[in-house]
Amino acid sequence: MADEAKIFGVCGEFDDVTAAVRAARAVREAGYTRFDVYSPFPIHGIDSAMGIRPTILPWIVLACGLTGCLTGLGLAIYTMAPPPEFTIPSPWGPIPGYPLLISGKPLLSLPAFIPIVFELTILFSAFGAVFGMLLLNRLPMLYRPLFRQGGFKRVTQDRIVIAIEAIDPQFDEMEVTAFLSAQGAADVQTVDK
Amino acid sequence: MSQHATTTLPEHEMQPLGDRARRWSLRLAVVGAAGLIAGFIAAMIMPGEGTGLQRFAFSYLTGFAFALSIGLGSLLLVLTTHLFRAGWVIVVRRVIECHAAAVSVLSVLLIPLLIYVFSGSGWPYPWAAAVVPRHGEPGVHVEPGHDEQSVHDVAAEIRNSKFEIRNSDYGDPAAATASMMDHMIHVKRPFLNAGVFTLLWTACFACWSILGVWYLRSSAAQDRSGDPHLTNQREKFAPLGTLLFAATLTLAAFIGLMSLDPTWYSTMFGVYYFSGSMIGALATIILVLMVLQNAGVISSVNIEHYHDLGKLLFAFVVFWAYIAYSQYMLIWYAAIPVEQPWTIVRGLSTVHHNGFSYFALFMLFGHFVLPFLFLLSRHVKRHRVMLAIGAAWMLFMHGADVFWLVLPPYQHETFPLPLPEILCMIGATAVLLAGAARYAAGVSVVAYGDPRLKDSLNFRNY
Repeated sequence: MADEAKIFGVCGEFDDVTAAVRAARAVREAGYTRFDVYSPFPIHGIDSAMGIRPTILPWIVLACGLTGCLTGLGLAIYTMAPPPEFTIPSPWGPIPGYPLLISGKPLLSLPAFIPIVFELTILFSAFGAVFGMLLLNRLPMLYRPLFRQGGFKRVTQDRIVIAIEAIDPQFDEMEVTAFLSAQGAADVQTVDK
Repeated sequence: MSQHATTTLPEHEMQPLGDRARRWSLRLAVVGAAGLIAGFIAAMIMPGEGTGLQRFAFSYLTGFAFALSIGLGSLLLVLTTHLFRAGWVIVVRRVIECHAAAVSVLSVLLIPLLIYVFSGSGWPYPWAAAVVPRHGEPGVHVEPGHDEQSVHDVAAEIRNSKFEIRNSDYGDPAAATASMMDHMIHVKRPFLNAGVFTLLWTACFACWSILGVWYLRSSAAQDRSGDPHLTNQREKFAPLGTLLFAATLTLAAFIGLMSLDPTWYSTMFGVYYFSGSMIGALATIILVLMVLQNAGVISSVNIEHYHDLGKLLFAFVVFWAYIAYSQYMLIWYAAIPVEQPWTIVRGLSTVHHNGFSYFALFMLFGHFVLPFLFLLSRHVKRHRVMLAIGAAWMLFMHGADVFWLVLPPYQHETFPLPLPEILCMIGATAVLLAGAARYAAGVSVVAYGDPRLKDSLNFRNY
């Protein structure tokens, strides 16, 4: 029996989607919180089975989008139609705006600013979506102890693995091993750190 | 993939709708006729700039363009879902197919418009006037080069107007505009005349009817045979159908709506009308599905399908804004005299205020900003009542959009109370729905013969 401090977790292999979804639900209902399901393809209904809460990513994207919108608006207004006496201070002296009179249009012309506002909204939202997703998924993650486990390779082919990690407050190697076997796992292995 | 919780189609959704649909068709036809007659009466008694018959020409065109847009949007939904081989749509596709096929019924509504064009009254299309009114005294010989001079007058008027000189006292802007109208009607004569008008509309309706009815027939035949080759066949013709659709819709928008002002042109206009069409069609389909579901006619449609239709509705709200802005921005930036009057009469100018100034702002906020924020949330699109509110609002705003496209040439100094237009829109749409119900009588409410039915029944959004 290995020392619990050196254990990463216990993983059970399933060769059937329905059994895996049922097992994932059972794991959640048993009170485990630090576990994950690894599968070669998306499984319908696994989110609710695992009890995954809706992501906060849309809110991050919305916040980034609004920031981009205001940045674009501020940038365009500051460059084209700076309020009188308004400059950005810098070590080289104050930086004023650069108003250009174009074909007799008013300096503060919202229709002309829309493309800038639009593009910056999209740019910031895209950054928020991509980097927010990476951050929330704790990516890039180059290594997991699970990779060392021989059977895990088949997760990219025809196996679904449910891994309960040792950091789970309820974790007990014996109990978890017995639990996963009872759920119909074809093979249950302990993974070292 | 998901072997669990497989849904199957209830038996009653495989039966032809039959007499139930026929009864609805009859009722809707009565509503349609009543709406159009009420619209006519309202147009006759409404106070306005021209006569009642003149007003009705514009009201009727509003109704016609509105109903047509819903049918055309449905037709494109049928085409694109085949083009993209969409699986989610199968459960709701039959309802869309019936609306698409019903475009053929709308060809009947073209007749009053043709009567207006051939009568030589010049309403609603100035180019259709038997005698093109030239400004100045009748019989005065217009010298060559006169029209070109007038264009410069208009240019000067618009240029000066930028510097807040309103109701200028240099020359006569109204006469300059009239002269410009003469010139444009003259040079566009080969395109804008009663013969080409009839020919183009006939060709367009022939295309739409063949496409709409053929897709419905093929899908209905598949219900009986279950032959997957029919799906392949429909998918094979979808690209050609989409191209035909794009060309005919653009032509129809040009000759039917853009030619209301023969001095004006925008290559974006066809796309603009199309973007509104999709909003009208999606909103109608969502509402019709909810009504059918409440009536117990279709029960297989679930929140996942509504969510997808809601997503498309949201996408086209954004698309409309993109197109409307692109068209406006180019006109605003270039400030070419011939392009300006169209935006000015629609209240888009900050210099020339008129009856549509607040309406233009209403379009910006009501047709884009507020629905964008409202439909942005996934929870709204997945909530039946909320989505119904969003769809009803967008249908209303699409009506306002068509009204905004058609009415300003008739009256723009003061806002025309849109009662005849609303009645005509209700009437014409009821005719379209009556056609859809009539087509639905011979088929089941779900295209159960489609090989992807199971995908659609068990479809889930992530």
